Amino acid sequence: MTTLFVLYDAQCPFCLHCRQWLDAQATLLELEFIPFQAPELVEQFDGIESFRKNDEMLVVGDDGAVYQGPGAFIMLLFALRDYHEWAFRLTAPALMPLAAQYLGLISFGSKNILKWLDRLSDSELSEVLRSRAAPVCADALTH
Amino acid sequence: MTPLIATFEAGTVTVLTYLVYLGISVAMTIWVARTLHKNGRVFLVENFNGKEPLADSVNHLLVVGFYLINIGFVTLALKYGDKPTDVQTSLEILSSKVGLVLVVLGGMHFLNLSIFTKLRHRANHFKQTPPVLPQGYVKPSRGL
Repeated sequence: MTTLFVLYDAQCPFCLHCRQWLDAQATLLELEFIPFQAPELVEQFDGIESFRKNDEMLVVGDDGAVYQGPGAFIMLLFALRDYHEWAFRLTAPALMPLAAQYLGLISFGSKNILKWLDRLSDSELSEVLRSRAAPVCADALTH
Repeated sequence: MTPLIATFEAGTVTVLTYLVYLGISVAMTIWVARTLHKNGRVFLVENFNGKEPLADSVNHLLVVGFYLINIGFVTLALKYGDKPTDVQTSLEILSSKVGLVLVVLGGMHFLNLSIFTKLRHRANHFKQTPPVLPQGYVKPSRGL
């Protein structure tokens, strides 16, 4: 896998914010952003409509693998050089449903927050993330 | 019998010392640079995931930087310190000047090594397999 296609809602502020933030990160896999509104979407990803729920972001690998929900956010972190290790840590059952909150926290916060988060245990981290409201467009993920 | 070098004037002794200093220092720089160039390559190739042209290019650029810094230091440091007046002072000054160059070369060598290992560390930590399983597959078509 060398490329991840990030399918996002071009009318959702959180998605746009994420896209902007992801654009500025050093990546290990190439990220290609395609809005749901793009007319060629269905043609390019045959069968993608069945994976679309609400406005949540979808990540598609160049092998056709579709990641939705928390998995999509974890795949995004997996593709970033500075957050590659975090992708593996966040697969813990207690943290996985909070992947969207994690992305919200680090993308709005300063870089220093990472050092602090790194020192927390899984349960402390889960508490911190739980205290944050789920990002607007990822509402469906936490329920 | 007076030693040969003692018959020279002080200025000539200084020039001779400088020439020997330059000769030894530049020779040492070339030797260390070649060693780094030869043995650092395999590290770089691994770091750049087997992309040999890229590794060779970075390797060459590193060696160029190494030469510039070291020969620059050697030439800058040439005139500083006491001036020799006879064989004994000449040897003492030569020794401390070459010694300083060797310590700087050693420092540069370890700096290079730590850069290589840091890069290697990073390369080792990158895992190819995604941490989560996909929820399904789409048929990849155009552009995939």
